[in-house]
Amino acid sequence: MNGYKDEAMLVLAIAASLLLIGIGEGVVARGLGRAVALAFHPPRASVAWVNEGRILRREHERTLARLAEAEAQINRSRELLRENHRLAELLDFCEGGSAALVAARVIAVQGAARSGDLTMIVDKGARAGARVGMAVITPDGLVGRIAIANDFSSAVEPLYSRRLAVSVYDTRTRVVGIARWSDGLGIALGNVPLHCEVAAGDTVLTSGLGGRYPRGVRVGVVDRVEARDYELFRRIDINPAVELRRLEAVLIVLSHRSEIEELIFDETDQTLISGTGR
Amino acid sequence: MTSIRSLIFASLLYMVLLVETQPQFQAMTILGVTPDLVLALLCVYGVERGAARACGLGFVLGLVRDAASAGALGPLALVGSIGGYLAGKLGRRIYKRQILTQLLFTLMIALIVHLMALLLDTGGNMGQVARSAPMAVGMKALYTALLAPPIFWFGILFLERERRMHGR
Repeated sequence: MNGYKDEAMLVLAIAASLLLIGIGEGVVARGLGRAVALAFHPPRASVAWVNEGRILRREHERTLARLAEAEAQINRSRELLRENHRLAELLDFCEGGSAALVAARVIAVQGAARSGDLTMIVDKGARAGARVGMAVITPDGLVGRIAIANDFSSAVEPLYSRRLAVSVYDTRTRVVGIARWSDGLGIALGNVPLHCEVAAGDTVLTSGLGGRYPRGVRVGVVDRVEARDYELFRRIDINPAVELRRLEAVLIVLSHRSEIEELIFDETDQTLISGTGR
Repeated sequence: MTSIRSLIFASLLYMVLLVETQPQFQAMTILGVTPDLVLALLCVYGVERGAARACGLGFVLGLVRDAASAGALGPLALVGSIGGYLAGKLGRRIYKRQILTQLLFTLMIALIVHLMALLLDTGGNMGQVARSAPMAVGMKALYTALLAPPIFWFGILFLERERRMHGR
């Protein structure tokens, strides 16, 4: 019998299998199916749990990436909005004035305000009409003048330069003086005699004298006034109207009418309108 | 010690049965077929333990697969029994440590078993069998056979040591 053990086992297994096939999908099949499902449930649940964790982690990473992207997009939009406002202001300024202006973007800043060698590079040069000596302004006020005009870029000498001097006047008292960089102390208003009343808080504008800068461009606000009996002139410090380090766009004044030109042109216009000039 | 080894082998079988039903197992699909790892384990069991035990194990494994597939009970149990019996009977005469032998032996058993399974599955429809056989039998058997050597290595490691301990 021992020699037929294998065959006996085979016959038994085949018989059992055929019996099960004969029974079909009955109670036995359902019970066995349930038992197998139960036997495999814990590891399957564990694997599913691990998989779920992995999927969640992946989703989390994807969400974080999307969030970062959305934030970057929001920042870009905000930046565009700000630029839009800035450009709109520049446009209003260009259209409102009598000067021919060209907008330029600040592409580099060299040197330091404290040492008096601050220079800004803008992306408009001779090809855009920029020439050495032309005034550079913003809607906030005077920036400086063009020191070097290359083909496609220009170097702007700002107020914080020891080579720059601007004729200005106090809007309250109409006192005229010279605004220039004062070694290590910022911008000072010079040539104002002791008897002239200039007070802190007064606004200082360009006078237009000399014809280089258009009249009426804001230069700054008087910060401090000192008067010493033994000196001829007052010591006046000015807070510049333009924050040079934060500048992103400027306007180059290609041409403007001086005070006398304004008068002549206004009179000519009036004559032409009334018809007496024919 | 024997019971520990048997437990390890049973755990291995359990793991393989579990792995086969995981969705990740589908990543092993080549040309639409997955390997039959349980059959490879049954082959090594038959070589080491003989036809009677392999036949019993084949029946049980087939029954578990039948139950897991939620279909009718019996077809895979029948096929598993015959597969186990053949593995035990033919396994006596092979040199089990040679990789090529392991490969060809598993290929032969797998071809027979999968062909029987296909016949039972199609209800003996020969036209359907002829259409499905190249992939469902040939390719599947080949894939299983290719993965057989490492499974043989593990199986022999567990089962042969036990035999030595029994002084056989």
